[in-house]
Amino acid sequence: MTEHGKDCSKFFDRLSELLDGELDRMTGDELRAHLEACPECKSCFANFEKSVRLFRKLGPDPIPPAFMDRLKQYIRESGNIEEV
Amino acid sequence: MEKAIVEKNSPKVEQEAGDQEILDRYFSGDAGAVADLADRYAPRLYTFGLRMCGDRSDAEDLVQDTFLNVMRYLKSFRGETKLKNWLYRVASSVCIKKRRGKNRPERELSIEDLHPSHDADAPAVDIPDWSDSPSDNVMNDELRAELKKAVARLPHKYRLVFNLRDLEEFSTEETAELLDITPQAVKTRLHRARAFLRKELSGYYRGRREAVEVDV
Repeated sequence: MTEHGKDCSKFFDRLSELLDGELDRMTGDELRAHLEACPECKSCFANFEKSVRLFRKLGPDPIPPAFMDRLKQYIRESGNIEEV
Repeated sequence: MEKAIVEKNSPKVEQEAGDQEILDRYFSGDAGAVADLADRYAPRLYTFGLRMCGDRSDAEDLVQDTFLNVMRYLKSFRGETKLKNWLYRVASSVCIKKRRGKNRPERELSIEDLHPSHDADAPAVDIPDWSDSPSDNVMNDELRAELKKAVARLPHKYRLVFNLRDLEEFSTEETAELLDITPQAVKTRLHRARAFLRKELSGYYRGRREAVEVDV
């Protein structure tokens, strides 16, 4: 993808929409045809897809139990104040 | 804040069963309902806060401020959006407000700078494949830390969209509604965020490969 033509740039700009299935049929077909014809864009797409997949696997960080206890205590106390 | 939390005048949507049960209890006067809502959503909102703020103490503040607003405004919740979406709308508003308070200019990401042609001087690097198989879910601590650092380097408005779309798995339309921006703006910010992260990740793997080559 070093010798970027207009098609390659256009392809890259819409990569996420292609990945998310958010393109209309004609544009999607056009970009998929480019993907088949351009090995550099094909490799770029594969890397882009793998990167997105990897970040999605980050997963949750556990909430500190002491904070959770404090939060619920705060909610209970605030609720009681509002009722009064 | 109130503007961000008020629903539009739309028909009611079907709530997830657990959420509906909590809402029914809340509206029938059960004082423990909001604490149960915290049990259900605070852990997810804490992760969201951590990804947005990059700091445990700020993430805790974000969760606490979110529930403060929940206690204030839940009585006006009319069920015109999913409760989960409403909570994230509240949390996102808290987050945007905190960011505005810091009064720092927002950095824009230029898509031209993120084109792979800009990597041309650097040797090409393949990002390892991560299949959806649960057995491949084990991510080592070093890589996890690198990914988090890369997310933290995203400018705020891109990080917010990336978090909601790719980590919290809201749709484009839902994210647009949560943030009060157009679906096209969501797509643009998400693509730039992903392109930025791809570049950061390639740089990380390139660095590792070069380190191995030096060792050999």
